[in-house]
Amino acid sequence: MTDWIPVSTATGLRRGGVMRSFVCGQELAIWHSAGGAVHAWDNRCPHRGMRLSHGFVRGEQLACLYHGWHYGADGACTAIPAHPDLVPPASICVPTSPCIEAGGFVWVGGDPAHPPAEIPRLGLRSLHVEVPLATLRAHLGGTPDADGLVPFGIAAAALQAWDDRTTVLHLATPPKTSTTDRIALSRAAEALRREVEEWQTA
Amino acid sequence: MATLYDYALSGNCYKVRLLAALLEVPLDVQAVDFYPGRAHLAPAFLALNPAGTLPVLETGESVLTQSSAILGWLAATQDPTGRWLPTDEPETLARVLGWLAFADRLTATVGEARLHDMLRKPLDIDAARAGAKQVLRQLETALAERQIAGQSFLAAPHPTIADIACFPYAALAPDGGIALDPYPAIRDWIFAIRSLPGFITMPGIHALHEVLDQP
Repeated sequence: MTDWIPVSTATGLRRGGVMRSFVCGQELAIWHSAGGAVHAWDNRCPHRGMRLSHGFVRGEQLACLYHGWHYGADGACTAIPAHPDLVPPASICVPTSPCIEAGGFVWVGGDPAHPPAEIPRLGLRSLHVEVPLATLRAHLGGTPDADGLVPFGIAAAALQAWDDRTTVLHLATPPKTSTTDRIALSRAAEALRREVEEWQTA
Repeated sequence: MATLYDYALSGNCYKVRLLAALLEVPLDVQAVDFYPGRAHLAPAFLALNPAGTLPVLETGESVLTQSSAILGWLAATQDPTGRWLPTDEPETLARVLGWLAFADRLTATVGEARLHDMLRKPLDIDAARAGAKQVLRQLETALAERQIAGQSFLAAPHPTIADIACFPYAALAPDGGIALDPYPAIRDWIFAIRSLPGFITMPGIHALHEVLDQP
């Protein structure tokens, strides 16, 4: 088992996109640079505390929506639009977490020296299921592999505890799976969600 | 020029302004003080539209109400390409009409939650948000399947009035206390619509800063 937590499928966050996520109770801004690098940062601009997930990606930088402060790949502030001649001090820096794309998913928080296995997969979709992670894992069955993935039909399922009562089910398929089969898997995932949420409330 | 009776915070009025902007059709926009003035229920407005609903479009020949109907009129009369309302493709047309009906379910759930939170409309907010979750899940599923099939828009390989009808209240869900985190396919679709040439904003739906010039 590794400490990597899945936060998205590899295709679930487009290049140039930013989204919010939660890992171990911590709120993060996950963003995907124009060049394809993924990043996981504390979701808080050091300037005024604005959520950086409301911000926007410019090339290899993430900018805050509020006052446009820009931050580079290492989290350090690179530009303050209201003070164009100022070189921002190194102390203005967003805390970052390890974040990589591997095996069809985006992962956060593990040891970069031990990334998840590079198995070619194509992201299918991510579903928020309103049951705790242990409940969903029990319903899925199967034996987790070294990265914590379990089979879902021909797809691989990666589970993320969004909070104590919601789990995100991230799914990815073998690359050459047909569109028909991928839609059938999407619907099977919907059915699983209905079943496990009904079981939870019964 | 057609006259639009408009309220700036209304998602349904924004649908009309947005499609008109995308089609480069100028409108004479007349603001109606929906809140707090309740001008949509005043005799002068009821004389124009007895239902007291917004938006209203005066075309010169008729008075049109209901945002989906107005979108249909704009597409049918102002879009020479025929792409926004593809009447010559029965299956696409049927899909578009289905989404126009679906848009009213977004208004009745997400839109109501938003009126509760923003304008203090008295209603059962838990029921509105629970309904919104069901409707947004259905939209997410449909868009996820479109993505799987390599498509970005609801009813065709290009945007149609189906997208314009469903877009505002989906994008405005956070105004009603409904986070969009659970809906990654909706997030991508919102981005695709905001990327359209001629896109305009409303309060709660801002422009894409990443495509603007750096200040």
